[in-house]
Amino acid sequence: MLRWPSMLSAFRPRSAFPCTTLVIVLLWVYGFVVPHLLSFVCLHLRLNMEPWSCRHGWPVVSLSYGFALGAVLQTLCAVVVLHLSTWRWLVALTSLLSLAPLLFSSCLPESPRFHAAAGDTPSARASLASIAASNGVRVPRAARPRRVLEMVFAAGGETEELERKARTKARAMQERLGSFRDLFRAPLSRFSWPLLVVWVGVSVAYLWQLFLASALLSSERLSETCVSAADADPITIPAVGAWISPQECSGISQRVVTEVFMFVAVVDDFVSRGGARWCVHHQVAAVAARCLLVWWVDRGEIAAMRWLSFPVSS
Amino acid sequence: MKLLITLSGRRLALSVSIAAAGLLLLALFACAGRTFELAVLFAARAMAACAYQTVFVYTRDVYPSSVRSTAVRAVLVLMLVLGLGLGLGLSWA
Repeated sequence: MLRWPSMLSAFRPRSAFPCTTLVIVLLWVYGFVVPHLLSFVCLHLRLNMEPWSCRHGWPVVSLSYGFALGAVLQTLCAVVVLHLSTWRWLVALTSLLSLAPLLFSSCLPESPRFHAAAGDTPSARASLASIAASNGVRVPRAARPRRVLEMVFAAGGETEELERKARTKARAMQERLGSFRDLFRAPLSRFSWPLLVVWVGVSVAYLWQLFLASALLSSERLSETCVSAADADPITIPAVGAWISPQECSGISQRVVTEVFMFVAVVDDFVSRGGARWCVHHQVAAVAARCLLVWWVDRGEIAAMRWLSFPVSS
Repeated sequence: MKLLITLSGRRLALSVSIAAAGLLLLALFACAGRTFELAVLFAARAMAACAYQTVFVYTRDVYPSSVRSTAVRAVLVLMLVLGLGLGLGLSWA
């Protein structure tokens, strides 16, 4: 019989309480950053910058291949580094990869859809021109946003009346941009309700196999699944597993904590509609958090990390 | 998966993958050994990932540009809420 650890067990008092609290806080920060990166970069780039002809086929499954390849590389890196040194170096080395978005973010144009939704038409034009130039084509006429006021003035008429019409039209255009209620109104409601049921089924299946893997492969079996080092230090493996893949290799409590912050991150994304470059700031925060963790644990507080193991008895 | 989505259409790919994932998860109750358990988990994960990608593609296909981003984010929030509920339910079970 499997015994599932409670989420609140992560907060029980320990002798080295300050370090335990710090590790919990840092894990929360990490759980907050990764969903933001996935949400902002992958979702915004794929939804806003992919041409229609590229939204199907290989670009769709490339993300899955990227995740699979990344998991393999992480495992190989863990095997090599853990053979030569301790897990602290593994955390430090993988932290360097977090700097990649910071280096390459300047090469990416900001989402024109975001600029247009924010009312910054000149920036939207510049972003569209940048994307078109990189593709070696001109911006299509239909994709050149014009100021609402200019459009109304172009039609002719009295100034005050035109300004009032322009404000009304701008407000109406703003309200038409992706309202959540539109999903459940005709004609989109005929897609939304069946799709809601399908998403519930797929989500439960996907999450259920994650939880099952987390429970069935935990404890000593987690080592073979995550880092292929069954004889490693029992403190090292859970900690490394938690940092290599906090979504899949960690215990139930960590996963629940991560889900809370994923929920907050996506809701924040859903409400604020920020730009894709937000991820840079969060990546910097993730690097700082990881470095702080490595520095703190290096001071001899490894014993305080035993709470990461979450053994599942049978 | 790419061939399945492209050639057979979204609905068939989604139906086959989600049904296969469900059957494979059901097979875990057999308790037939660790190797079998790992193999079934691996296959179930592949099928669940296939279903997830397919429904993601389908969601982007059916909605117009004005609400596409909103729809995708809404279903992601739904998935996270389900994950949170499932995790808490397992914790309290």
